Amino acid sequence: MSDPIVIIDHLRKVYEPYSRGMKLLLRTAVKEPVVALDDISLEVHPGELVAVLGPNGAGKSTLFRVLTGLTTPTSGEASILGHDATRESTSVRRLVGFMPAENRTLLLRHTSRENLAFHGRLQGISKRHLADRIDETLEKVGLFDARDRVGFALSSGMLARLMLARAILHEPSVLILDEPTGAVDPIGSFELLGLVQEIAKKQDLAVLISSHRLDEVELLNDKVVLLDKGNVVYSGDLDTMLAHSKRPVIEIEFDGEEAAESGMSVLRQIAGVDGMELEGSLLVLTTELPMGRIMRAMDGHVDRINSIGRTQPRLRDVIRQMLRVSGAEGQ
Amino acid sequence: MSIGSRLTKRARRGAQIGSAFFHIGVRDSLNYPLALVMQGLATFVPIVTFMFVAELVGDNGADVAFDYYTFVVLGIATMSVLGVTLNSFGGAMLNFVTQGQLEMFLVEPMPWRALPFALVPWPTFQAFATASAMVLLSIPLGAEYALSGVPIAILIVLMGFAATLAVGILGASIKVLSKRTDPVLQLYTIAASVLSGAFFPLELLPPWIRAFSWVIPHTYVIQALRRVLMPQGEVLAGPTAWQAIGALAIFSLVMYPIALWVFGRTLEYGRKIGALSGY
Repeated sequence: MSDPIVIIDHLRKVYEPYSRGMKLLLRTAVKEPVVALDDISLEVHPGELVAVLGPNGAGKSTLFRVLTGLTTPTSGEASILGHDATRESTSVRRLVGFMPAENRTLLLRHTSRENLAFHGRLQGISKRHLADRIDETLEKVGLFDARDRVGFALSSGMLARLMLARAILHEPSVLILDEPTGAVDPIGSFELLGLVQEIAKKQDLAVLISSHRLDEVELLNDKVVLLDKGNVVYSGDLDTMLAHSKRPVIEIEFDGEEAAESGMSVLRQIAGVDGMELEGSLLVLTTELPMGRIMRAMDGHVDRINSIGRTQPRLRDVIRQMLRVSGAEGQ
Repeated sequence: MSIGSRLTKRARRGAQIGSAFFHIGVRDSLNYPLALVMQGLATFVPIVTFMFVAELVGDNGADVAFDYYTFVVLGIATMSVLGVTLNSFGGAMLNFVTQGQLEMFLVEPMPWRALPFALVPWPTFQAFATASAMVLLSIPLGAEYALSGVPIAILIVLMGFAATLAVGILGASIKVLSKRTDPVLQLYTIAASVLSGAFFPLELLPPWIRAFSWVIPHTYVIQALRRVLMPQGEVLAGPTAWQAIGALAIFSLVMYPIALWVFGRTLEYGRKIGALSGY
């Protein structure tokens, strides 16, 4: 495997409460030191897509802020192609393309082309190359026909693609996407992520992407880093993560919610069912019991079952389980 | 790479960043035409108002070079143009923070220390155009100017820009952390409006207060402009054009290292506590 582009080495970030003088200028909710990142180590290689997952407050944004130079670590190091993110912030930012969650970071009263022209100048692209680069990039993200439309006239999906165009305009080596599909509809999200995958592959980019939508993480199907309270709970590929949970799952689809609730109360009585979750008329069991034992227990409800079967554990449940374990270990 | 070529490269990069914000500033202003027109009209109000005040004041003495109207128009125009230079950086930062764009600018690969210079050209140009229009409008209303003083007046104004921008950077440094306000600029603006003698001769101030007038760049700009642009300006007390230019240059030489050092420190502190792009 080629050398890593991004190296994060024992990174720790603690937000301290403001000093008295600082409190006079600006109040903060931080009353005690908050450990946002706790001894995080990670490497990202060219062409690799790393999905950074975790609940709110896990440390995803802080990690991205360190990598983009917006904040400095308390200890440890983060570097991109050998440039230290703290000491060589400008050089690092030259290597990073950043796509934030909010499209109000765009100049919405300006056209797609004007937005890119403005950021292209800030990125240091020479006047000679800028116009061509803008057209190429807009073509790449499928916005060439909308090049003269102002931001307000673009859909959420198009705005997301424009933000992606802005992030890749200066041909970075690393792409950092902070919840890039936030306001985009599901179809648009999948298209956008497909585009990210395609660009990353073509340009051999290292990509770090945070998302709350697990279907998207499954679509990316590459490396996953699960953070919780500033710690790495899991780092590895998605398949291994799913295999991590060997606990079998049985899904029972009832003909209505009421029947599912009734089935749930029956199954609560029997030993060997480790977990149960109700989603409308679907009952999801975590159990090693044979299916026949479950059916027998459901004796009086069998005629209300539409389907029953073993399935792979879902990513959401695996993550929940891992976070639960990590929380228990932390206490 | 030699120091010369490094400086040229930096200057080019600075010009590129400045031109990016200048373009955007122009487009933004043109996007709100009515606001632009109303803003322009509002600046003419004092020019008209002071025409009547000047009539009330009547015959004027040597301490206003025998023409209070021209005397006060120059004071008002200078205050307006230097006020913009003073506040444009902090104001632009505040705008970008509230519009949610600051973080995106800071993530771009540009030296952050270029921002104080890159954000001011368009507002300063606008202010300079407005001040020039104020002066021109005052002519049919009775003001008189010595055209021969225009070239040196432009130099005085440019030196005034440079000096007040240093104070603006110092103030904006605090705004980087406080987000909304900065006591430096607020106190400076209050002090400048009284101590610079924009509306009245400096001689009216008690001598012990007048001493403070000469630590403010506004005073040098206003007093020197009156001396070079008013037909009987040479009767006024105060520095000559070159003395004012020298004082403004010394002020800049002292203030820039301090302001840029403080700005760099607050940026680093903002990074450390994670308050750089927040609101």
